[in-house]
Amino acid sequence: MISCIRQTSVSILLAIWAAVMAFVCATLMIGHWIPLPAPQVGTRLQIGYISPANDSASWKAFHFLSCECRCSQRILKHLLDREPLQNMDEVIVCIGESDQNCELLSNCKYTVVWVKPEELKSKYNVESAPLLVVLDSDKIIQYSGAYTPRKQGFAIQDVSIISRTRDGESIPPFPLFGCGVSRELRAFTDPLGLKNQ
Amino acid sequence: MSFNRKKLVDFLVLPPLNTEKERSYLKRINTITLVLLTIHLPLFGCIAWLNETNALQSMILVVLALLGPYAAFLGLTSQRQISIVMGISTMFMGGILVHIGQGVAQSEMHFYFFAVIPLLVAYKNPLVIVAAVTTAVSYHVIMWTTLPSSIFANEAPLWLLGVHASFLLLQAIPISILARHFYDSTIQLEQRVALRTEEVELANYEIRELLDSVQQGFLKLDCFGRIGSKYSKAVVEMLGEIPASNLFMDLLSGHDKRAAEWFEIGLVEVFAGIMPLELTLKQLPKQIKSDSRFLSLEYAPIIEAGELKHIVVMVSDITALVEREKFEVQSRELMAIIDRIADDKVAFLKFFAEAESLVKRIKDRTTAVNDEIKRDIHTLKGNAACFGLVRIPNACHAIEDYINENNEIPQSNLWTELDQAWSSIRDKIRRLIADTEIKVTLGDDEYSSVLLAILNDVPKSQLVTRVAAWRLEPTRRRLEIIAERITALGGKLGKGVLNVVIEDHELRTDPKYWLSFWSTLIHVIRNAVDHGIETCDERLKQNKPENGTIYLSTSIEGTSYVISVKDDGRGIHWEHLRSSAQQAGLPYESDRDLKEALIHIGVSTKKSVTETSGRGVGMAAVRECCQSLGGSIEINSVSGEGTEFRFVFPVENMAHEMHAILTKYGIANANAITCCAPELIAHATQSTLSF
Repeated sequence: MISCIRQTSVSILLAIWAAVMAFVCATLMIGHWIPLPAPQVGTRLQIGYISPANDSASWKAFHFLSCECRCSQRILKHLLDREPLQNMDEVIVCIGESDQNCELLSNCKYTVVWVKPEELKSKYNVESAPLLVVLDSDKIIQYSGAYTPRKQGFAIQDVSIISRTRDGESIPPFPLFGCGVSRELRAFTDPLGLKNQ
Repeated sequence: MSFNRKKLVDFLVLPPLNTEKERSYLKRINTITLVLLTIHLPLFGCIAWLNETNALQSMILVVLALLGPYAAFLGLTSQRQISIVMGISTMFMGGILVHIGQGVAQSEMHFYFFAVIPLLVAYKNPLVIVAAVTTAVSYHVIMWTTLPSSIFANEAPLWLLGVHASFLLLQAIPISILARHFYDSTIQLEQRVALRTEEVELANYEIRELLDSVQQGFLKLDCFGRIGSKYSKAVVEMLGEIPASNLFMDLLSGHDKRAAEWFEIGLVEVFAGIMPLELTLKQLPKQIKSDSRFLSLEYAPIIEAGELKHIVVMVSDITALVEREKFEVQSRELMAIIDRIADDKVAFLKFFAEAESLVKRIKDRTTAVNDEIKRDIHTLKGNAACFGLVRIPNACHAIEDYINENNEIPQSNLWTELDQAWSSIRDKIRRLIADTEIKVTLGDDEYSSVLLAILNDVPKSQLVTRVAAWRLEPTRRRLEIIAERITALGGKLGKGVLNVVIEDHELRTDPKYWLSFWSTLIHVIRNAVDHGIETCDERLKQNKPENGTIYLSTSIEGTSYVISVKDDGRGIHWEHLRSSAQQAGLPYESDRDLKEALIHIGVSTKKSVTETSGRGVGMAAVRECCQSLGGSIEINSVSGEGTEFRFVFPVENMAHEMHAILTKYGIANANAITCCAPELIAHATQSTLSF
């Protein structure tokens, strides 16, 4: 009898464990299995809250990177490894608290803008990172997507994407796999707070 | 459809029967898996650290994934259920790995699933695979169903989920089949083997029960005489424990060394396959004596694919049967003795005296083989058979066999047989015949006739011959006894119903004087029936009457008394006799030489020895007897027509003693007493005498 009860109890516990673990694994999948939302090409990006250094430049490239997203850190490292492009106003939008210790950005040649996650959607209509958005002189989005053709691939193609877009080529946006960084999206993609560091 | 579902269920769900061996195996695999999963803890921590994900967080996740296996390991008793938990846990580990494996290798981390699922084959349980795959699919489905369609509607189509799941299924199906096949070919095979073993053991037990309960001994032998592992209990009871060598010959030798040697030689012939199997099996020993028991041995071949593989030996205790047969033989012998005594008491007493003398002589000579002992044994055998005895001839035959095979005096047991047989018969005979005096019995007619002759003053010479004739015996009586023997022998030897023609010419002889000759004459009779007369088929082929005829006659030819035994058989095979004589170192050039050789000891015209004849001893005994009575032997034989043995004696020897007495008293016609019943004196026959 005791054995039977014990068996049943263990079985129930195991069922709960399996359900919980399945849920945990499901949440961990989001972001690297399903492309995250990004602004649509051809729409206008809300950039009213930004204060670019050279607002007169005709083309702009926005790099939306999250301080808590490991994927974003890789892109940031890549950006810092190269110089900003000529005739292009490249802006790094750091999603996080502005007082975060980020020595990398202190001496960089890019225009850096800080935005809090809870303000991200309202200010830029952006929810995910790392996201590359290229605007033409009319502030129309010409490219909005990931940096690599495959998930977290080696080939970060931001330079090529920006150059070709500027040359008038319509480049299909790469699907965005990364982190949901806006407060609204994070509630869905990382309800347990496991993904963002 | 329901059939297919049943098949699917039968395929996925293993049979409930699981053996200790399976449990042990699964426990081992589960333990190994638990260890490997536990190793994930530091391993994933390292991977997370290298990928700058979050080592602590990843280790916490691994601990969560390990909770299930540890709980199952500690809480569940069914190793199969624990296996399923292990399978599920591996998929959770995969989910964690993909998460912590951030960076360029994140996609490659998915290979974990495709590497782990085949490893689960080790559980030999399709349900483990199914549970693992279902787990992986489940959190994909959970993820897809929980995402808000408002955000991901265009980016998370159902087909993507299907593609993702299909790869897992594609792998899971063959892996499940493999697992089931693995189970069927190992664990289930072991279970089947165990089941079969159990059945075989049960069958063995039943066979053992059967073998232990039968009274016959059964054992199986291979070509080397090795005893098989299964044999009945009765074998041990009758023959003793199986020897260490496991050889049947060794088992037999503990009881009968000769039979063991015989068996060893015979077994080689059985398996050699040169001679017909039935024949070689018949040549194996059929009976042995073990202490006071008689055991019969029967043999049956086991033939596989036309090849003799083994022989089965059936041992039966036939002591009771042998004793009964002995008793029956003794009863038959007793009846035969009574018959013989009733027929001819004088002759029987003579045989008895002579046989006792022969037995004594044989026993005194049991030191070396010589012609005398051979002749005595053969004569005793023939005479005893002639008087309806069985055990004496058998014992003599066995001794003769031994002497001929080994050329030495046999072991004491053969003598014991003869001694016991003779003692038994002697006691019976002595009880039957208390008074051994020979009496003369007169019939009424004869008494009246002689009385009248005396009253009428018939001359003394006539009366004397009449009275003297009372002690003489008509030869017809002897010939009739021999005729009976011929008829019996003919039937026994398959020669059909032999005709016997008797011509006694109303002769009479002194029974005491001639008894030894009549006894010895049986050898001639046996030769005539056994060698001379052909089988019915042979005779028909030669246009002869189907049944042979033997002519027995006594006659007076001039001054000779002639006893003749003639048959219409095949005649003597002179060439074979010549060859036998040559081999025996005897003269063989002339007909006379051959006739001498025929009756010489050791020369037989027959190629094989039978119980009846063929040793070449009988004729020598006849000649010796014939010579002792002052006679000689004449042999006439024509190939294909028959053989005649003529024994020629002086006529006065017919009633040797009486003739001497009458002659001494001046009775002129002393020979007349042997010719016929003397005619009554003419005038005496004119009167009658009334009582």
